[in-house]
Amino acid sequence: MTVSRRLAKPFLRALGVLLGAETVTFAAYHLLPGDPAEVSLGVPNPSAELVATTRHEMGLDRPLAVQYVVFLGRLLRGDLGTSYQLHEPVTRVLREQVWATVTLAVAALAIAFAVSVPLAVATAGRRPAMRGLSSGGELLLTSSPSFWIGILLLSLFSFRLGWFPVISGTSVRGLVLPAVTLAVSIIGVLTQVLRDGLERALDEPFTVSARARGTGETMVRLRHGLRHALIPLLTVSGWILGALLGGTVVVETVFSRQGLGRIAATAITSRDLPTVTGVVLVSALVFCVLNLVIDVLYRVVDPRLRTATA
Amino acid sequence: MTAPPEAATLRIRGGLAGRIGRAPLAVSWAVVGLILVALAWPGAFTSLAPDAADPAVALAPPGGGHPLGTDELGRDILSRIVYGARPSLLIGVGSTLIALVIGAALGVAAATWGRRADTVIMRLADVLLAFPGLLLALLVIATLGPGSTNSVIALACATMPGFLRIARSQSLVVRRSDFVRAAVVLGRPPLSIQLRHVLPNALPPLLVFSMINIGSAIIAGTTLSFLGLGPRAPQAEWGSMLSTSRNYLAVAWAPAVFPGVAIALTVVALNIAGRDLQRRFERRESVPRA
Repeated sequence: MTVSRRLAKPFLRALGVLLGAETVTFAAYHLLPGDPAEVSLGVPNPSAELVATTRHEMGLDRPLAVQYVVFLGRLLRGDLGTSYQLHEPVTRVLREQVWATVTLAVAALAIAFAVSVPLAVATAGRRPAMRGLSSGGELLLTSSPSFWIGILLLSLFSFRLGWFPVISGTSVRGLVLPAVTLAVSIIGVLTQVLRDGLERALDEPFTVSARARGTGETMVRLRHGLRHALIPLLTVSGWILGALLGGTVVVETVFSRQGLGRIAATAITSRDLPTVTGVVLVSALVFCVLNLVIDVLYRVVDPRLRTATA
Repeated sequence: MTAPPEAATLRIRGGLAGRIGRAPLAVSWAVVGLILVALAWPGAFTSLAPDAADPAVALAPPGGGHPLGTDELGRDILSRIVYGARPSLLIGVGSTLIALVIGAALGVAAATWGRRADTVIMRLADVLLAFPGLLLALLVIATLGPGSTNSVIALACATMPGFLRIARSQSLVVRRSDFVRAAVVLGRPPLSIQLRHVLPNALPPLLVFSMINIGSAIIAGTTLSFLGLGPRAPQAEWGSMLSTSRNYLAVAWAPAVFPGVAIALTVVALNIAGRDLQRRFERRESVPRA
């Protein structure tokens, strides 16, 4: 099989999944209780006449199949509708908020790696006590909801010690606590996966031969072990992405920070469906594209897979 | 006669490691037991009512008549945590059970109903998995509206694909075994084969997975409550208790700490107990195969 044909299959599959995701959000709009026209008016007990006019304006009186095609056509043109609450195009709202969220997620990822990699390298294959301490800590971190960790950090570092602002605006200082909170939610899993990968690599014959050549233990771990730990890391990177994308909703709410997650959270409580579906669809799109990239990266990182599928 | 020194040290070391390994296990099962008692009979832990307000002692630190302090209305935090166990755990446990039942049914169907059914069901799972993390649950709540029941439905939708995948792969293995072939040869109707032979044998790994999934489902459930999408106001619930505590962080630390400790303790205990179950199950499984 040629390279292009091998890449075409996952690509087509991702397209199909996205179309499915779009259908789910369309169903969320139209098939479930609550008339979008009444919700969008936002006034209690609107007159039947007003509701009818709004329904016509929103195209809700047309057959469902027509509405579906119109909805899909709009999406393809990058039109996600108008927010009920902000009375602004959803795409504009998303564009204004997306960078705050991307900054937060990237900062959290950087912090998580800065902690997990040294921790895994230091504890892999060491004495049971040290390993046990580390994995106990990881279990505690993965078992604590990130909103609670955020509240604890806020209480300690903002209220008691006053090191960071209580309301994180757009400043760099305000980014620290939210990024740490989001990082903590993935550090546990990240360290576990890296350490398991490292331990497996340190058992391999090539590690023995590297040691026999007189390579120092640290060098063995960094140059020979860590590279192999990257493959299991790719496997969970989909989970990590999901945790980051979903985690921003919680973290941005705890720290009253701007961003897509906070917009989504407030939109849900005010039943502002276009905004919710906009955020959800964009996240699904990002998620699918990045998963596709991971799929391709697998083949780049691990040469064994290339020959296996050829 | 003296034992060889290596054997002696080995035995001591093994015994010590065994004891260290077993202590958290015993504690975890004990915590699981305590949680069950709190669910069945909350009055066993506290004589105070969870909604008895006493403004005179609002935001009191732990000590005296209130071992874990009081919240902004002077309600006892220990009592609210104990009585809050039911709604807090309901979302996690309920959604896991629903996801288990639907996931198992669809997974067995995908594995046994032929190729077309398999394709349809697995593409459906792929679509649900396209929404990262909590976002599918949030989308469901945005359409159905907030509340405990809707949170259960939302989380069940979000966790179901995982159960479906395990049920399907497990059923595919079971389907090829000799006793299922024998049942087919004997002319048993397909539905009876699925229910009496495939499902019971695909079930044990699913149960182990649910035990492990309950922990993360509880975290997700309290997260929904924290965002104000779970049970309504006067109801004591761990996530919403923590949400309110944010307004009083400058004056009181107890309301922001103890409900979170309750969540973390519950999830850690369930995780360790779940892994213990998994180990026991795998040990039992490996015997006949060997």
